[in-house]
Amino acid sequence: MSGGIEWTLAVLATIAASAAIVAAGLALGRLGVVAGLLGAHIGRCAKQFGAGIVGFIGGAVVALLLLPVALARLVVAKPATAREALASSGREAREALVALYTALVVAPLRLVGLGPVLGHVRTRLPAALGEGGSGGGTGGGGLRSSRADFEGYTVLRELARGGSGARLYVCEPDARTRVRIGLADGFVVIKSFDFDDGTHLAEMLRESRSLDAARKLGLVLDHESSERRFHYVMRFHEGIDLGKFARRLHEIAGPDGLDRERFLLVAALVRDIVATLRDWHAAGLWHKDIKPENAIVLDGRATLVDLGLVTPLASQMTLTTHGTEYFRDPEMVRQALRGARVSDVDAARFDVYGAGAVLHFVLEGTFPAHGVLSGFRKPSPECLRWIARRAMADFDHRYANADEMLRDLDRAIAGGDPGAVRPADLPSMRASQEEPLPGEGRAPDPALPAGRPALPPPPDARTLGRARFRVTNWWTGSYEMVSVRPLPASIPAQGRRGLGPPLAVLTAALVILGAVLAAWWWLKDASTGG
Amino acid sequence: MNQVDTAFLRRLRARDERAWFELWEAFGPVVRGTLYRWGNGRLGEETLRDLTQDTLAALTDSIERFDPQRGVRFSTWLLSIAKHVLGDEMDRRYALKRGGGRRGASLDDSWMGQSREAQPDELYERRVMSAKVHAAIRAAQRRAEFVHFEAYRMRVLENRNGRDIGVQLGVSEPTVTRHCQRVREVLREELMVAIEQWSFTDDERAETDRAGLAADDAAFDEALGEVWRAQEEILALDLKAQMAAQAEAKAGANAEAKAAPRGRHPKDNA
Repeated sequence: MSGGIEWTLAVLATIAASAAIVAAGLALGRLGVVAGLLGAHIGRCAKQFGAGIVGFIGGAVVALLLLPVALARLVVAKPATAREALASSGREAREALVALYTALVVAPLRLVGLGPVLGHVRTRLPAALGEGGSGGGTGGGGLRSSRADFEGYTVLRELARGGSGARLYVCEPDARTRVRIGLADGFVVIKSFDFDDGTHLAEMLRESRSLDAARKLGLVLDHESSERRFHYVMRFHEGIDLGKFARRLHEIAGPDGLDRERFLLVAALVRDIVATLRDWHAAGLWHKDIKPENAIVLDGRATLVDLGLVTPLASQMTLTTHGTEYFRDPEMVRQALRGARVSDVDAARFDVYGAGAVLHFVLEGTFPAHGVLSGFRKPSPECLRWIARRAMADFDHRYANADEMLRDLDRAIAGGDPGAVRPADLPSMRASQEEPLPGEGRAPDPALPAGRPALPPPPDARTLGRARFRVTNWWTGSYEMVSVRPLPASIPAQGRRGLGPPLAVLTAALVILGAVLAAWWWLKDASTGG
Repeated sequence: MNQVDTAFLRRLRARDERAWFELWEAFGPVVRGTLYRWGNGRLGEETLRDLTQDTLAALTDSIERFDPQRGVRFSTWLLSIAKHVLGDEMDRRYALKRGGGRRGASLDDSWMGQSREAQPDELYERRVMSAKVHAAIRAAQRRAEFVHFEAYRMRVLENRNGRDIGVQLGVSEPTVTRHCQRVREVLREELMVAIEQWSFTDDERAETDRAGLAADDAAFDEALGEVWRAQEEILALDLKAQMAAQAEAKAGANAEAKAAPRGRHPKDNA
């Protein structure tokens, strides 16, 4: 009996010891991961500290070197250039101080996990300083000018300025503002035109012209104007621009061009742009500056941004040649030089040209420098080339509207392999196909077996379901295809990968092991005593 | 026929901006490519664009004073103006560097003579000839039906066989041939117009014969395809250089804007 119990205890002890070893291994592994993350964090902070110190030294040296230059210029009676040198010295000194602040304050605080607090201070402090001391003046000195105050919004950061002189701020609306502008989540971008920032009246007027229509479309959430400032609010789209995205895809693919899945991806992204254009045109607006940099890609979706040149289709203003080279319709330039008014021409077709140029760009990775005559040097599906060319064709020969182009794109994407679709299969071609002469039948398609089922009817652009793509690694360009499904009401929490579970197992195993050993010792003691 | 009297040049003299745009469309890439080569990578994208515009604007201005009796080729004339504009830009930069205010050289009639400094090379002459052919193809594309032109493009410019094109377009091979014939006729007409418009000497006008573009259909297609493909190569090199210059400029701008955010938002191009 005693032997049986001992044997059972030995088995239990072995199991518990094994479990303890496994759990300890897991715990050590997780600890290693935590240590790695901690190391990386320390490394980042150290890098920031180093960069700050180097920046400070560099800035200080340049600032000091510029002082004698300014003095020398003053001596040779060139006060204007001396002032420039002095101003440059001041700028360098400021940069040096900011670098020092980064090294001595930002990096250490970030190291101990107080980075987010810094962001908050950066946002609040200037506003507080502006309210307290300078009497509402616009003077600098703070981290951000008081001109960046927008009631109901907290400025998070400033974006690079656009060509119009406007300033762009990423902001977080407060709860009341969210309700007012109808934005449940996410951030906004505030585009602010301020005379004190050098904005000209013409630019302000141009942007304000389309505001009402843009607001109806939901593109502009809010706007406000005062004597010297005008700003409007748009949803902020985080992501990467289509230009960078396509270039990266082509870099990875090399000279042989993209593969089937990537063609499908870029075609779907251009489809998003064209679908947006269709809606805008239907609402009486045209974008006027369609280019890859004005489409933001996130989770396999492209969103058209930049309202800078948006114009009502019925505008009585004279056409201008604004836009971006290679993506701007030459016909628009011709009409502008003729002095045509926007309402005199079908301006929506200029956007169609831009969409075609974007399609060319994503297929080739280069600009369509010669419009419709631009060649394709990399392999790409014939039907997508056809769509790009048709969109960039002469004004009278191109797609009549965005919807027509959209239906062709949908057809190219629908089967999951654009390479298998011929131009002849595109809805626009089937609509305009010439009748053959008597005695001359249509050429059979050797690629398709006899008795092949008829092609599916042209998909309805408004209801067509399409594959969605989720980019899993922006650096390598890898992505996965996911089906379109309604989002769940709540997102389930992901499995946790902390230290807790292995430690719990380890503790339990050790307790069991202890109990088994105690029982074995008690039994042994009892048998020896007996 | 004296080409200075053609309708197009009359339009240039009359300051017709659309004529200027056509000039830009046809010869802008040639001038830009030439300036790029001369600049040896030292001219930025914006400067190149400005100088190209200046060159063509100067050409438009000087058309008033053009003397056809001097027998200067159009290509040489264009090159001389480009050289002059570039020289002017270099003088201006030099003057700025010295802090002085040296005036740029004036535009005078010396361009009409054979400049010792700006002798066109073979590549340049090829570019000008190709630009004329390109202009003709662009004009033909505008006139022809889209499907017809695409059939011709596939057949001649991309050198594909009629059967394959028929399959792609969903038509028979004879239909493809018919499409190509229509486009070819338009192209021949447009080529004559382009060559006449942009040739000042008989020698320039004879270039079409030398290139085989006055021959029968098969030879015409072959010659046109060759000129087209050669032009494609040149344009691809130019484009590569432009993209590299743009990427460099963008990298510089990014370095300046260190506070650039993770996300991106529209910026204006106006």
